Amino acid sequence: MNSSISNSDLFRFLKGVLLHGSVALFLLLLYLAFAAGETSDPFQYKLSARNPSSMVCGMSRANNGIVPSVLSSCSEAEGPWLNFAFAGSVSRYGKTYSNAVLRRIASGPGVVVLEVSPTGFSGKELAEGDQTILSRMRGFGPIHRLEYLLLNYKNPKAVFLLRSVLGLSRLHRDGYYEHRLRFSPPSLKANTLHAHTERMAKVTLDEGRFESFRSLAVGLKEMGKTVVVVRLPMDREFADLENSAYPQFDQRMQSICSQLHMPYDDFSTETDVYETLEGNHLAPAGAARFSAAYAERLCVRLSEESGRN
Amino acid sequence: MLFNSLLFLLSFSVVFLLYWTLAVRNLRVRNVFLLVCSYLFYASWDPRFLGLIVLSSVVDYTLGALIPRCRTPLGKRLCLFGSLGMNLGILALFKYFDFFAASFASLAGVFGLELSPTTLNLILPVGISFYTFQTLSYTLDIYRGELEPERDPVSFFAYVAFFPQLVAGPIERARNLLPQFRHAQPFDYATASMGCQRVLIGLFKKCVLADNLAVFVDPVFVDMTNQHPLLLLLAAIGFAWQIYFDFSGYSDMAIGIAGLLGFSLSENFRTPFSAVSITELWQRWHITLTEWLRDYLFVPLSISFRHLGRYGLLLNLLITFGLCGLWHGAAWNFVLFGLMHALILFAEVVFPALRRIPKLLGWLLTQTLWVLGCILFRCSSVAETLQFVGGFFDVRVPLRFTYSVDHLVCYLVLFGLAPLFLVLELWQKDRRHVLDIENRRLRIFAFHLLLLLFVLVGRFTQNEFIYFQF
Repeated sequence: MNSSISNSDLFRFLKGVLLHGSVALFLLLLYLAFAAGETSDPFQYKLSARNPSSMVCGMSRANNGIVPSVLSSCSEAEGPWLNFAFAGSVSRYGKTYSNAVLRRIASGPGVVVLEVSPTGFSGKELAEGDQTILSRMRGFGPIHRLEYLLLNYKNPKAVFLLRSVLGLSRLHRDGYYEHRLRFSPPSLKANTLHAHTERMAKVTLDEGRFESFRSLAVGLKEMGKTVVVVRLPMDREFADLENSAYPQFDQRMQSICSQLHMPYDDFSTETDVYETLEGNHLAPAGAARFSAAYAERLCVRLSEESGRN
Repeated sequence: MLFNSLLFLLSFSVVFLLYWTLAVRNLRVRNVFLLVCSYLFYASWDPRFLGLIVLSSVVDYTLGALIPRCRTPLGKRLCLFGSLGMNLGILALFKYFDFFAASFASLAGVFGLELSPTTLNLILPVGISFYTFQTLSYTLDIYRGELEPERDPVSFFAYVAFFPQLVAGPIERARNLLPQFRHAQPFDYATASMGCQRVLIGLFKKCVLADNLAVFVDPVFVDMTNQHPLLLLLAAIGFAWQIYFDFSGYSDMAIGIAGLLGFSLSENFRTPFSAVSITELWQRWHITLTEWLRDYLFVPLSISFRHLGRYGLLLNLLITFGLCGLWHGAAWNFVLFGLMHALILFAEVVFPALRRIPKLLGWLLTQTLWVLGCILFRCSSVAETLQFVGGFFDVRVPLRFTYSVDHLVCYLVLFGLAPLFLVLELWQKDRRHVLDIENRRLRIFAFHLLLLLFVLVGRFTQNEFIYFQF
């Protein structure tokens, strides 16, 4: 008798757990399907979109500052495009990022814009490469979406909702990450500059990263891509800081680009021309204006390249 | 294997089903099953240290059985010292050897002797402080004649290694937990349901509250010299809350998991942030450790120091709480944490006026002192603690909040969810847990709301529990 009571209790308990667990799981899936779509997260669509033939690579400046759909207005710049730039913690030039770019892009003709800044070459890379989201992914493309969600999305999922509700940021279908600041305190620029100054005092440029950059450019050319290099505009304080911390950087880039026959456009001299978020990254209006200006330059570069070929 | 991991959830689901459908039919099979599960659980961290638990269990089981058989007090005492020596010896070797060697070398340096200390750099076996205290209570209770030795080795071994509370407590006395291995408990819906609720609340405390607070607290402690006093203060309060949610979250999960298997564990926390004196706070914080120290250290020392009056009390408190600090970690900041509390407790005893101050003032004073103590707890050295406290007075550093959506969630927890949860706990202090609501529908609604918050605000980065390092 006791045993049968105990068993019926156990089944009742399991039924309750399954019922409530299913309701919770259903709500979670519902939420993920609607609020956490591919473009509500800063990375997801960049990893789950189909392989593009043209690409923007680099770090957060490119992520926030280059709009590929604007670049594609140039007839020589064949699409589809994807902005595959991330942040300093993910996409500094190195083995991991090079591997990811080469695996991500479709072979055949296309254009690759490599955005450069001293930060992209700073800090020593581990022997096995940078340990980032990119190194943890087995592959990229639509079938890897669930893998990304399971492996890499461990932070609060409320950020999806908050981003949408507050209209703070949006990942566009071309991979451009539009970042708006609804609340921009005057101290933000000073604080960012302070953090940059501290980091640049500690971190040096790494030869290995320059080597990876070279190999990446060579690899992309071998795939049939036209590779162009760009340094993005910023506010004067940030440009001055970078140039004083790494005075040889620009010269170094010019040298690498001329060796590999890649056009190099340095917009860092155009300080305070484009609107920025905090001096270091372009704001949406600045990104749109800069992308339009760069598209014009790119058209010229690409027609020069095709004339040469 | 962490309680807040998917692997544990899946493994425990299998264990739960096998336990209630097969293992529970025979008491001996059930205990063997629990023992195997416990050893596998511990081995998932580091199988090398499983030998230490087995050794500790074998020695204490044997000596525990020998104590009542000894005809002379000397023989009994030898058995007890054998148990103490072995358990404390292992603990000293793995946890304290390097600390004492370095401290001795520093002390010799003061007298002009230059010694290069031999360090072993051993990995600290997870949960060693917890299970050592647990097995010690067994032999101590037998020696005092308060407990009969356990005859069944499987029951005893399963008691020492019982996986819900093996790595971070509650520190269970043999007289509470061991008898539960002697009787088979039938499945009880209410107990299991309560266990499930405790697990969910524990997970919420850990993944939603503690881990979000950590995102705000950790960078401030790492870069403490560049922080505005307001941020330092918020980080200190945030850490006091973080450690509470982290540890009490683990205890809730341990009690809940044990409840799902039909076992009852001791409560470890009772709304400590409502305490109006440090004495009361220690009655509400890590209760099983406080009671262990009271029964096996403070009370025997009180008898020994009786003739010294107030000085005896002071000495007793300094020893007990100094060791309490040292139990937490092999560093001087932990010792200082203990000594600071010993002095406050002594002041609360010898100055009766302190007990008559208004409750609100007492609460404010208690919480301030506790938060200050937590700074000692969080910093890696005494010098770092002084640097942190010094930062409270350096108003020249500009106030820099980190602005990002991710941090917005942390601020939501720091300024909203965490204090709200503490107030709710106070509101529900006479109930079994914070969401123990009589109205069934309201309770189900509250738990679904908790689950929703868990999914939306929880961090699933599987951060280890803070108390695992002790």
